Amino acid sequence: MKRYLVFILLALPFIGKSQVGKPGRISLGARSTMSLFNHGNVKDFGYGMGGHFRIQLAKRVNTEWFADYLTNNSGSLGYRQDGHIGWSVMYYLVDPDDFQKKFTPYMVAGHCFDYSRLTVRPDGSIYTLNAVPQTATRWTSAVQTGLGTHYNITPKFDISLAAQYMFHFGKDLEIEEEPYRQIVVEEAHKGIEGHLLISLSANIKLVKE
Amino acid sequence: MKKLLIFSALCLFVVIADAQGTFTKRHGFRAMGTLTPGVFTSNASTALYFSGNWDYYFNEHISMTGEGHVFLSNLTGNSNITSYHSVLWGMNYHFLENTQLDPFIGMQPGFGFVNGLRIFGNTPNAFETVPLITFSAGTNFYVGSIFHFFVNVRYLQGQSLSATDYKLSLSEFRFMGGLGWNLGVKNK
Repeated sequence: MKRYLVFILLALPFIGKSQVGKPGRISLGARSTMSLFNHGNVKDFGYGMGGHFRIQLAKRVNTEWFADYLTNNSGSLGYRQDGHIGWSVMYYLVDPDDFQKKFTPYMVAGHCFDYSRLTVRPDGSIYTLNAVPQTATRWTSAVQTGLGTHYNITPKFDISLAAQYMFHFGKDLEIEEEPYRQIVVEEAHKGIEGHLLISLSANIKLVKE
Repeated sequence: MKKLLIFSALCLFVVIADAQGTFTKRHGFRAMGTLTPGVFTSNASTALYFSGNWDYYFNEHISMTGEGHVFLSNLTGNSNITSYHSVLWGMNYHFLENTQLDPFIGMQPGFGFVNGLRIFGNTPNAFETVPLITFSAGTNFYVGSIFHFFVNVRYLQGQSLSATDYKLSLSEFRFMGGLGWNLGVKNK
């Protein structure tokens, strides 16, 4: 709980500063996300949807505050649902020039909280012993970093493509096979696991014309 | 022949657009409701939806859009999905300014709400919320201050993981067309 409060307190100055910034520095976006290499598995990719808003703090520094919901397969045994809520700092690699240029590439890094729910899919071959889907949930913290670019269709409207690797810190959930059934177990030790997130978003800068 | 007809129709639209004066979309609002057939690419099964969408134009080129699809029935195939409603939200980019013809492309992420039939496990019906990635292309054609015609093709990509016994692709094309309402899009 203390950790949440610290992050909220750290975020407050950014929010405060943005309100006295010049107009055009707040954007609203809708995004689609693909999650690849979940737990190192190439085949288990997931789809997600979400939204974000951006608060630009300086000429080359922007922030993104996001929420996503993703689902993906977990092998043939089950499926995983994830909720991400977090924030990122974006640093523009070239002068954005008020987004007059077509492309504005950026580096991005940030932090998020992840709610994960893993469920065993009932299996026809052993369904009598495995009739009720086993489910487990967890909260973890994560950091993400990567590269992206805005494609500025107009200075006020952009499509953004970003690739970020997200590292989760905490106990992972796994499906284990036991005789005649599968169960969800929480790993005994905390570790680092992650996945690649590719997000495509449409964004509008909220500027009074 | 089909290509020629489509090309001629598009040319005709442009001619009519020139003849009928200019429209201003900025800060305007449009909405519509229609029946929408959908074709799933994985197994060519089809479904029917009642759909509605709206656009709010920030300016002549950019609009915020929302869309809802209420599942009515499976037409062919996909008998293990009993319902599949969806809600989408996103942005459209409109290519032309102040014209009757209003072609656009857009992306709208959203959620699908899937009810499925299961054989395994102890729950014969299962509900699942599915994230959807969608892209659309189409055009509006404003004919006055009240109505417009529209056509819209949408591609949806998603996957159902728990509503049925197996992972199921929800990759689908949906086709919409008809008459919509103008609420603030004005004939200058």
